[in-house]
Amino acid sequence: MKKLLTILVALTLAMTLLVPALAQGTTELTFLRIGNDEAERAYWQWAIEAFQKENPDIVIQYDEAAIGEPMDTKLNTLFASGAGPDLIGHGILSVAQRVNLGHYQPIDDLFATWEGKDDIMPSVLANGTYEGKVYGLAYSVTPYVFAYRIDLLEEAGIAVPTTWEELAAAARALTQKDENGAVTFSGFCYPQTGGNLVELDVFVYGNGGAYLSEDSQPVFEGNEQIAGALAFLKDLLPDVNMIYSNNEVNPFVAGKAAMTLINNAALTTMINNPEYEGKVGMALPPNNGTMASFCGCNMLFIGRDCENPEAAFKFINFALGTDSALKRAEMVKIPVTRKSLAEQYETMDPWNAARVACVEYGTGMPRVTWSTGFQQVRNALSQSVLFGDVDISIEDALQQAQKDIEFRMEQ
Amino acid sequence: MYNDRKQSAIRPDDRAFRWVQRVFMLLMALLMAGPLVMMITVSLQTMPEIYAAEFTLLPKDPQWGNYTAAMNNGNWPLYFKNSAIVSAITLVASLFINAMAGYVFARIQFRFRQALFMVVLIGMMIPPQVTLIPVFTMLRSFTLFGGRTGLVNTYWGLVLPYIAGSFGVFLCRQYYLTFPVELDDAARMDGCSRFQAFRHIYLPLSGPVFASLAVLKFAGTWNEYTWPLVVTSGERLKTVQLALTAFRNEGEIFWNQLMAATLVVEIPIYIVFLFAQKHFVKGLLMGSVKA
Amino acid sequence: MQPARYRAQDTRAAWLMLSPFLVFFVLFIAYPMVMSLYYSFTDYNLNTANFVGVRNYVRLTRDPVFGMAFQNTCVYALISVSMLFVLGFLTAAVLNRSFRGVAGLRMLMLYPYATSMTAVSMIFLMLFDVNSGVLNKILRGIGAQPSNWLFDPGLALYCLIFVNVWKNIGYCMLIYLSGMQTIDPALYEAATVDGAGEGARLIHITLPMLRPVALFVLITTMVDAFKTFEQVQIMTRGDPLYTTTTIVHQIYQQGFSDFRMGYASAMAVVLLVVVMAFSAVGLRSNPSHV
Repeated sequence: MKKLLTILVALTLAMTLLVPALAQGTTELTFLRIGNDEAERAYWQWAIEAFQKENPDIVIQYDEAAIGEPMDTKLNTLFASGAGPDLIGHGILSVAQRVNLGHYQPIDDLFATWEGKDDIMPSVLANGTYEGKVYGLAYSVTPYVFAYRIDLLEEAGIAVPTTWEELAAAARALTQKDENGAVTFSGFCYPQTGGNLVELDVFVYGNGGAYLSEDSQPVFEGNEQIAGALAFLKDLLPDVNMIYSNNEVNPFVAGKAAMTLINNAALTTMINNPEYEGKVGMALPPNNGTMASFCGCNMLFIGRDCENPEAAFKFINFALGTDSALKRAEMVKIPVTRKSLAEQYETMDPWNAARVACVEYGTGMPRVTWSTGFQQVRNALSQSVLFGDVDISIEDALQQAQKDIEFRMEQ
Repeated sequence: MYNDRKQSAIRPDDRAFRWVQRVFMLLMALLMAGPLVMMITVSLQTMPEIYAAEFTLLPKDPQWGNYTAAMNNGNWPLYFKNSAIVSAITLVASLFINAMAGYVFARIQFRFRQALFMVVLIGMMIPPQVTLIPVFTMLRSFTLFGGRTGLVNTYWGLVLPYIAGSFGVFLCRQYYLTFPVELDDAARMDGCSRFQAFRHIYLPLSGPVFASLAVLKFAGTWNEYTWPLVVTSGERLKTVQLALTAFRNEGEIFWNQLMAATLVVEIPIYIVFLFAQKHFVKGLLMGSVKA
Repeated sequence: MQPARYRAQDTRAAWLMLSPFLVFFVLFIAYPMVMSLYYSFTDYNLNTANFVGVRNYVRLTRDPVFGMAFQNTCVYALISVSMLFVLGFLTAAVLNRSFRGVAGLRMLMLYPYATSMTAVSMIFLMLFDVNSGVLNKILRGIGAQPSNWLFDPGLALYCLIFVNVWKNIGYCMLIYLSGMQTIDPALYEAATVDGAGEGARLIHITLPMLRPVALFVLITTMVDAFKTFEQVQIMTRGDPLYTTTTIVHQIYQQGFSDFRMGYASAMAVVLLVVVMAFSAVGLRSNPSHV
């Protein structure tokens, strides 16, 4: 027993010591990206290889973690122990909180010398700015688009809806139900639960509303635009909706819905599926007076514990350069973030114009330190009003939301 | 094993009771087997078939290709190797250490024994989320072995936190408590130290409880997800549970490949359980019965 | 009572032999727990930690989400443990004999326990799916009303409880089985001679002899139930409307998502106290066990 133990111990020790030693003079950078989809991974692996060829003295260790628990757990543990990654790919939600905690380094100096500083779209740049300083540069925007089945709308002779009334009419016309009244094919599907119910945001913004006041305070209580959006959905959804969570497959992608709001990236598999060729259309979401959508943004940040920010920025520069950006748009089908490439991007794919529109009119998560609390409260609001088993009036729900968010904002 | 074929089967009460048992067992068996069958079925279906409205018990056209596709998604031989190494080392190291501790609590009287054992038991009640950050920070600071990042992203980083197991100590203690005290007395008369008594008497007789502990520890480490997620980066040390997340991302879950991969990942554990079943029963027997 | 001259030798031996275990225990279990206790009195946000007294604990009493998590966890634990207690015993009783295929049946009961909670959660997520899940497909097939399962606020928690019971029955059965092996067959023989049927033998002999085993099952399943997290995170993330969030899920949520690690630590301390309290109650009923 002991002998076996000793042998095993020796073996393992030997194995761990076989970790390749760093050659003299190379800089090693760690890069942690949020999201674990294949297309993006392929792109980043290409980018890192190409970059390392041009810069043989820099080595990049790539790692990724799925959105939500894996990324949060990993990133926060790393930062809490002083081992934060050098390069971080993360979203808008993280900006305010992490800047406050000092996780991200401000990159104003490096940004000022960047060749693309005037080329980056202003709205996109704003996402990575907090309290006047630049922290993150966007490599991808994730707009939510209004997706519809071209073939089904044509068959029913319905034009692509652009207003709420048109949406309601179209959805009701395209919904199919069985003898018990349960929806078997959804005209318009909207998630009941999920990690981040931004679908509600699309309707709120489309109604000209906002969650925050001018001075970044939450304004749920008595908010007429939010109430209006909720009322519209509350009236429509029971007639046309199928239950799903936006963490899982959208019924539209599974071929069970005619229209939906969906993350642009989530449509990729469906578009590549020969069965749905020519049947998937995208547009700006139908609205009630204000053109709007939700548009998330993933940015590259330099971590607090990075000892070589110049090297890190070199990689950022490469990854956001025009060649890389175009290659990315091609591989991942995600809109570009540089103004100069917008035209070229639109020619690459017939639906890119719609995607770009969603980016242009899209708003992201609020950049406040209590953004995760906001996410929870907004999710609860959507669920309790639209799917709750207890019938609650919209004003009461908004009041409750206000109370909840204020509690969460407390120190 | 208690065999009741001895008594006559004439009693009608017993006959009826037997039938109740059979029905009960049938229901339980269906309940247990159902998900497993569905898992296998789904792993052999195409995605449209999975989304279809009808219920199909067996796949229409078994897609064995799902398994190859799943195994081609990533460097699975590496992941299996990593999981195997980590699980094996953990179990070997923890077995001896925990057994020894169990023996101490069972057989040696010393001050604070009761209190210390209570503390050890409390250790079983702590959720991993609580220990993540302090343990990670500590491992990182062991720069002697790993350079700048200490033991992070090393095999030892994956193994060390799992070696001390309160459950293992608890089980071994109960097991050793069933040994006759005369053994220790005899050993002492022969001039053996406590350690020698442990090594020469208790250890050789620990087969059953070791089998149980080994199986539980191996399975536990093989099935761990959170800690490997935090302490490893990239491909080099990826374990099988981490690799399973590849089939699930934003907006799409590839159920068929996920089920296929899950089966492949768990089959080694099923095999281990199967082989150890015999010893399992004997080992847990001693561990849980007597005080 | 040990003679005095053995005491010193014994004590030395004891501490020496305990030391390897204690080193790991202190480093990886005791130290984090103490740190957690310390953090619970601070506003630790993964960056800085300032002492704030009992503010976190006071906040716990005012937090409606924590209240729900606490309630859910207790319900979850209570029902899981009762069901496992009973079903584990029943299956062990039935499988406590040798007939062809008993090993296979035992393995069938046991494989869920051998599977990781992550895998089990994914499997049931698939089965419970409202639109394309097997359960609803079957219900529709026989003309019944499909259920919303994990999306139904009144049902979701019970679905999770079911999964927990499903996964752990094998473990309980195993422990009970091993306990049953120690019961002297002579007792059964005597009872049979006296005219006791199988059922009577089960109730009057097997059950009482299994008290220590039952206690072990009770405590371990309860501690396990209170630590529920992975299942929630994968299957529901606490939805719908916080009806499936548990204490550990909130610890994760507050600590890693909202950066309130001090607050999360307070929750962890409360969890520990609650689990210890329940365990103490259980142990009190069988003092000889410890």
